[in-house]
Amino acid sequence: MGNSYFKVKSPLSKIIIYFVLILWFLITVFPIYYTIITSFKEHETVYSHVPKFFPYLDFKPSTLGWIHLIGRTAPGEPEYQVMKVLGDRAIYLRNSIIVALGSSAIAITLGLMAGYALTRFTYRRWKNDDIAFFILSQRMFPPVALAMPFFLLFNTLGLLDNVISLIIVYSIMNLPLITWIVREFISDIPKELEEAALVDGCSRMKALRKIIIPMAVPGIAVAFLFSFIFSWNEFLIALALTFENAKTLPLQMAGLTTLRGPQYWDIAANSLVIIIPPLIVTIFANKYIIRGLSLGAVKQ
Amino acid sequence: MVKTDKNIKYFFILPVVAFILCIGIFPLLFSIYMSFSKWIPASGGIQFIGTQNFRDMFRDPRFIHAFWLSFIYVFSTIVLQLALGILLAMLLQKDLVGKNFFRVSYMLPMLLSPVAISYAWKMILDFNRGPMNYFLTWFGISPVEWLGKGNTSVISLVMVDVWQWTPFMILTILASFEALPEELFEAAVVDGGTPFRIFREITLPLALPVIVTIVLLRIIDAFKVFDTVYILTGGGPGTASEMLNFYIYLKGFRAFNLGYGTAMSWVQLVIITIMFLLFIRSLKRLGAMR
Repeated sequence: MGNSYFKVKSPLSKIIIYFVLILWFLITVFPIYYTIITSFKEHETVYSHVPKFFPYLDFKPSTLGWIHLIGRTAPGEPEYQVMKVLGDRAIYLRNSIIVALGSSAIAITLGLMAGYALTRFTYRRWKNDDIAFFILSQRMFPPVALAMPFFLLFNTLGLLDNVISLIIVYSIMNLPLITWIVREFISDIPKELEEAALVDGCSRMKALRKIIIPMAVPGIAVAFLFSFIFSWNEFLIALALTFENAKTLPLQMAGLTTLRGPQYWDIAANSLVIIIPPLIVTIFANKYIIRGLSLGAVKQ
Repeated sequence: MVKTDKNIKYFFILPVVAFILCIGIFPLLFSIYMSFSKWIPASGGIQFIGTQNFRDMFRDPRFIHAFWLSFIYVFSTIVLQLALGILLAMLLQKDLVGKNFFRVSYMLPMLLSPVAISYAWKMILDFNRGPMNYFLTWFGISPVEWLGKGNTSVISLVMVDVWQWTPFMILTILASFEALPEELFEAAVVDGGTPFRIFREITLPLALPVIVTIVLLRIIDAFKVFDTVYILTGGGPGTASEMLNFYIYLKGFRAFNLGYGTAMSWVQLVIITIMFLLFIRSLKRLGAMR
């Protein structure tokens, strides 16, 4: 790292660089910070004329939003304020987890096979690049364009408002990126390793299981993170294809305003439930995510 | 290679191709048929009505408005994101203390639920009590009705998109810069190049093909905008911030005019594809893409 281009020498330019970086950091973090503190506010503090930013200094934190979140009423608060929210929320949470895990599992299984096939075999009638493009082209279509035919299809099949329909749609939406990432990781694994095993009489499947998959674990992890986060956050398809039983967490959140006007401490606490899993993933797996992002766009 | 591979190579690729054909391509083909027909919610049947949907579209002022608005939206978000992305990637290319901290924290917005962050912005942009207008008073600017007026509601949506997706630009452009050989920069410094010239004559031209790809990916995604419109403005006030995908959603799933909705989404898809092909061709001619 002795490269002089990357060193910042003059203190003035150092100050300017840090100023810009810290400014963007504050812009990035502020909405998240504001959501966190709002979840600890009460009616008066949310609706005060000067916004409050610092718990304990500015305002007295309250756990009202979080009490509501687990389906209780605060002492002295009328019971009807918190209806059957807890039971619903547990169902939505379960749906979100099932859908995210299920679609990731399908997309990764298929993406792994495709990624392996595209790096290890040559196809003649359809060239490898054509197949890769065919898979990638699935990314082009806006979700709303997919939602409408799927709505009619699942209506006919009786699968509307069923987690299975969401799992199917999310796995097709996740497949392109996953195939892309897994393919890049597998192409980094030297072919000779497998070939030696195959010559020794090992079957393809066994070579895949014993050699490729263990070595591609980082790639699979990256792919899993991306597809889990995508399915966890997805809103439009879920809005179109579910009404009651198969609703996921983002939908439950979007319904909060219409239920009884915007009560921001409540909304903020709910937001955090959706935000926390990707937040933890980002903090602990940031290297993998950066790697995945650069693969998705840079290596072409 | 081993001879028995003949069958096994199809065994690996066929499930994927079959899955895409059934779940990806079939619904799309079906939606072409839908765009020429009308769905009757009561019976669940569809009735063929020819090109009626397409003719309606060009007489529908809301469609035309939403269509142009989407283009304005995509153009302005991409320009801002690209400018900010290049600037911040350039700064993060330097050896700095805390570089990784900035990189990780910048990543957050794009990984968090758009619904949740839309609510966060809704609180921030609140006319009476939001921090945004409060901060503006520090600079002597009078409060702005961020979500209540036509133009500002579009600006708010652009702002949220820039906040959410500039990280993607920063990180991918930075990755493309870091993929360049370091000796190149060393040599340029030895030759007496100023940082600005090195950037303009080495970094940017070499990273350009990747940047073009990143921009194309972002354009595709920016046209898909929906969640923030739904939560922040609901397309309003009136129809002022109605982006195309949001209008398609309203027609398809609120008015249950699925035929008209699919027809609109096909027009959108065809126009974007043509635009892309022209864009890529002109870039190739300029030599910006391999």
